[in-house]
Amino acid sequence: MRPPEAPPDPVVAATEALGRSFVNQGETVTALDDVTMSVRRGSLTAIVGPSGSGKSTLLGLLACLDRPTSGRVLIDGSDVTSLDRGDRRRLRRHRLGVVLPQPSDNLLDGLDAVGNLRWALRVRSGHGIGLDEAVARLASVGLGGAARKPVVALSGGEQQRLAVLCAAAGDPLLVLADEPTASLDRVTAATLAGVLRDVCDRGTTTVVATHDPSLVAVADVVVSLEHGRLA
Amino acid sequence: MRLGGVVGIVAASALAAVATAGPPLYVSSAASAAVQVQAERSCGADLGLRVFVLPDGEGRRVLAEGAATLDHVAPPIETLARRAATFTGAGRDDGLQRRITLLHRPGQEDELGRPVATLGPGDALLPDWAIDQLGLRVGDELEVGGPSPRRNGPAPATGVPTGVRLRLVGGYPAVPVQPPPSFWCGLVNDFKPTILGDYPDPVALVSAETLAPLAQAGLASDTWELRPTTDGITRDEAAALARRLDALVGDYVDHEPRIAGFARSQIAIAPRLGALVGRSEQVAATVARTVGPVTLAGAVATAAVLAASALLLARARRRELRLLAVRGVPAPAVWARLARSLVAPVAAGIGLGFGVAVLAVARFGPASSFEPRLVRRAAVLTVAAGLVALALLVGVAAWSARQLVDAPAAHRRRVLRRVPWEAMAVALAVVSYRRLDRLGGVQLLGAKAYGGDVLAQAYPLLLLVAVLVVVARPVSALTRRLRFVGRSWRPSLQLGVRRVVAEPGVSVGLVLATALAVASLVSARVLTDSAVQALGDKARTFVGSDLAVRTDGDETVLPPALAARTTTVARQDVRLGSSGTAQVLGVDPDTFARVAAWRGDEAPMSLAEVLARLRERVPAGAVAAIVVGGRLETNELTGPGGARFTVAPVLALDTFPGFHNPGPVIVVDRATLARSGLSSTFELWFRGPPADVLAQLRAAGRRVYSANGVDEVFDVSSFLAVRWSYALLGAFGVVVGAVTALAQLLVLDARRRSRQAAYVLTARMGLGLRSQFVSLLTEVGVPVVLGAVGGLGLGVASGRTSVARLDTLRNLQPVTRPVVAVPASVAIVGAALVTALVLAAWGLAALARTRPMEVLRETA
Repeated sequence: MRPPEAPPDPVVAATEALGRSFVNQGETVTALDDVTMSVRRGSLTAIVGPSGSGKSTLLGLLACLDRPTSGRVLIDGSDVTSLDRGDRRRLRRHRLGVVLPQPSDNLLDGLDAVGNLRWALRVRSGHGIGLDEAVARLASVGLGGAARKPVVALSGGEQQRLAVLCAAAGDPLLVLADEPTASLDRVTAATLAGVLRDVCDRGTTTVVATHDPSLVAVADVVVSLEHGRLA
Repeated sequence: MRLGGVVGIVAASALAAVATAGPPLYVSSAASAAVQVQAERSCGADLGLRVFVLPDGEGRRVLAEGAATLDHVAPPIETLARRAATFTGAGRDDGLQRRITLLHRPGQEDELGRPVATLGPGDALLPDWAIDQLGLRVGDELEVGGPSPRRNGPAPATGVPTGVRLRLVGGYPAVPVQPPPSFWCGLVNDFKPTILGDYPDPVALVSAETLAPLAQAGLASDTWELRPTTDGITRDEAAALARRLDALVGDYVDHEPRIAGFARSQIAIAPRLGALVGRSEQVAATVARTVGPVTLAGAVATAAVLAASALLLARARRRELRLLAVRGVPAPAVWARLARSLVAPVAAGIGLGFGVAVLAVARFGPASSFEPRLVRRAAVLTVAAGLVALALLVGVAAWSARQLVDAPAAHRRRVLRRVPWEAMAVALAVVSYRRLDRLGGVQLLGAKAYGGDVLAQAYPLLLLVAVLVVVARPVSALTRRLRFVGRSWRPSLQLGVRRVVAEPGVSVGLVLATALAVASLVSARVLTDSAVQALGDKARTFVGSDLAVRTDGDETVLPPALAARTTTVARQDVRLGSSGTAQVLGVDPDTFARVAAWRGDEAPMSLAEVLARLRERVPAGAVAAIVVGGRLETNELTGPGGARFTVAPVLALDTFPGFHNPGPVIVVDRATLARSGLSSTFELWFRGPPADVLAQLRAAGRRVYSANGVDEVFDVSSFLAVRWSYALLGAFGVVVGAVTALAQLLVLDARRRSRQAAYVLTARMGLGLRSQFVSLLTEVGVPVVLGAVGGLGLGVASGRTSVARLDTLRNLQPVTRPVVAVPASVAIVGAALVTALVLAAWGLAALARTRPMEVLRETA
């Protein structure tokens, strides 16, 4: 009889005394200062705060897109701050999904919607999926009819839904979305919030940096930042 | 990839192909042109094959068949000649035997400069001068006999006559000998005066029937001649032909048993085509050495353009590359993705560039014909360059993309910025200058090239680079401080200037690139003009004027038209003391200044003032003298035969018309020289001589021993090498100009998106396309104007400091001095401004196609 497996760590991502500062025109600007927080497995966490409060910086550090000037970032219990660039790239590839604020930044122009989804899966897991399955997945976020459209022909909302689908493709450990509704109208933003909620409900831990009330409304946890510190 | 990006990559790749294929094709072209130009100035008969053939032999068939298989040869010519014969004849029938040459060459009657009678058996034509001198008349008969048959030749058949009776049917004008017409050039020794200026043996032109019996008897030589046709011939073809001609002589010897045991030199006159090819190789080597730094600089500039293209490509595809990085796509996959999208434009650019290089060298290079071997080699090199270009583009773009996400800590980049790159560039320029000062440029001695240190030769370019690198940081810092300049200016102007100062790195890069382009072009022009001028100056100083004719007597018997543009100079080698030697130049102070080549910087006074010094009062028994190119150990000169002569130096100069290194040359008044009893040879120097000056001299009864014109003073290949070497420097300037224009184009394209967004916004504020054009012109024009003005000054400075040191003929006076062609320099700056205008118009056209909604959705 096999021993029972240890229950998974309930914390997927965490920061410890995280700090990030930049030098701009000779002046040091502190974007984050002593931020300690954690993200629970299966939750939808919203990081909120006014512009310039450090939301995007924090998300970038969690997504291994940037390195802190102090403190640590833990992903699935491991300190990723000290990893080399190759390991951090592999982490982003296989375990993290990222959605950038501008819809068109998340997709490859030269591919259609289904092509983008299949490419994202191939990058993540090394193997793709069939056309029918890809179309079915697109249909699950209301993009069934736009499967063969080039991405430039999709609306901003459609592009961003596709971006979330791509980021979540291959069941990553964590999906991080940086102000995904920033360029969307209220109705479209609400639709996208529903898509993110669905992603989370299917078991993918999600962190969203936002000041969109519709996203905050569907979040399980809300972390508030002000002047680079937890409020 | 957008069209602008594609155009940039195609153009950058094309530059890589031009930079790779251009120099070897150019050097090959120079080698072929050297063959063609030298062949044009040579006698075809000397270059080709001349074989003494025997009648009715197997060897004739071998030669004919061999000739039929050769390319680049004219149909063979057979010449019959009976030399060193003697004749007695009517007219001045004094019973004396006189020497005569009998000659027959097919087509001879048509090559005499005037119509003459067709020659039948026994008919003869004699030169007009011989008819006149011998008192002959048309119809006179000449009895031609001569020495016994050739000692080593076959014995004449029994009963074959050894003499011939000729009937004079007319005269013909003297055959020119300097230069001889192509038809007669192989026989010029039969027509030219003796070394003492006396007439040669008269040449009687006769028919083939007249000479055939003598040839059968072994009393006349039968020369089989095969001339190369060198029009459009390449170096390789000429080299192959030289080998085939050599082999043909070998075949002939093998198939002609009657000449067994004869030395080869007795059978054939060795063709000089091989030697000519050898000299052409030297020209090619000289050109290759001189263009080495340019080639290197071209490669570096091309690499810089490719890197800049890659950076701009990365910028244009920033969203895609960032997405790949965000998704954690492995580097090889990123490289492969970039490479796949770049293969087509790079291949197109490489093909285009190779075509441009071939066409440019064919159209503007020394020769339009190419050697297939080198075209293939250039093609292989170009393909390799294409692969390197692709790798460079992919590598730099991928490296740039790596900085977008998870970049190294900023302090590492700050450390890189603190590295004193300026000091390295300056140190390199200083080392290069010191080497150039010590070693000089490529040195030509005869047709051979020596020296050519790449680092020394690269000094003009390294100086430009060093200065530009040094000013880069201060200019960049100044640009940053100008962020808020122009608050009260018109909005269009303000917008353009703000775009310039908003990106100090890019703007300073464009200013420096424009400066480098203009400076290279101006510097190349200064070097080219100075080198061409220096060659002319040196040639004229060597000759003394435009033409120097060694002759007898002085100018008093010349026709007035010639006398007005000539001066007579006496030359004599003398001994100085016990071991030294010098040359005395006797000049006529009254006529010398109007003819002699005088640049103006040879002395701190005018030539007239220099000549006046020759009439200064000096101690009794001595002659006032100007000492040129050295100092005299003693003032006592000893001429041939022990004649003694004392000079009193009144002036010392480094150079003087007619000065030949190594010195010293002692210039004195010719009249004084004549009074001293020192014998001399005479030269007539001409300024702007008429084309028939030698014929006029002969007609005036003067003997012409030799003539030396400016064009012939150096080995022709030396001139060719220098001229062609600097021509490529000019081409480099054009390439750098194209590089800068391309960089501007790429920057404009990279800023397209932000400009379109600004246009959509500002259009609502009342800024129309006209204002946008002003703004664009300011954006493009400011770096161009600043770069062009700076580059102009820098180019002139670079050229001026390197001209004298790059002199390829340092051993010849006068020293090279810089020549700054103001109109050309202004034209270069003007071309830069026109380029800015065209680029602004291009940018405006792209702006006019903007669709506001697409811009706002960022899908434009």
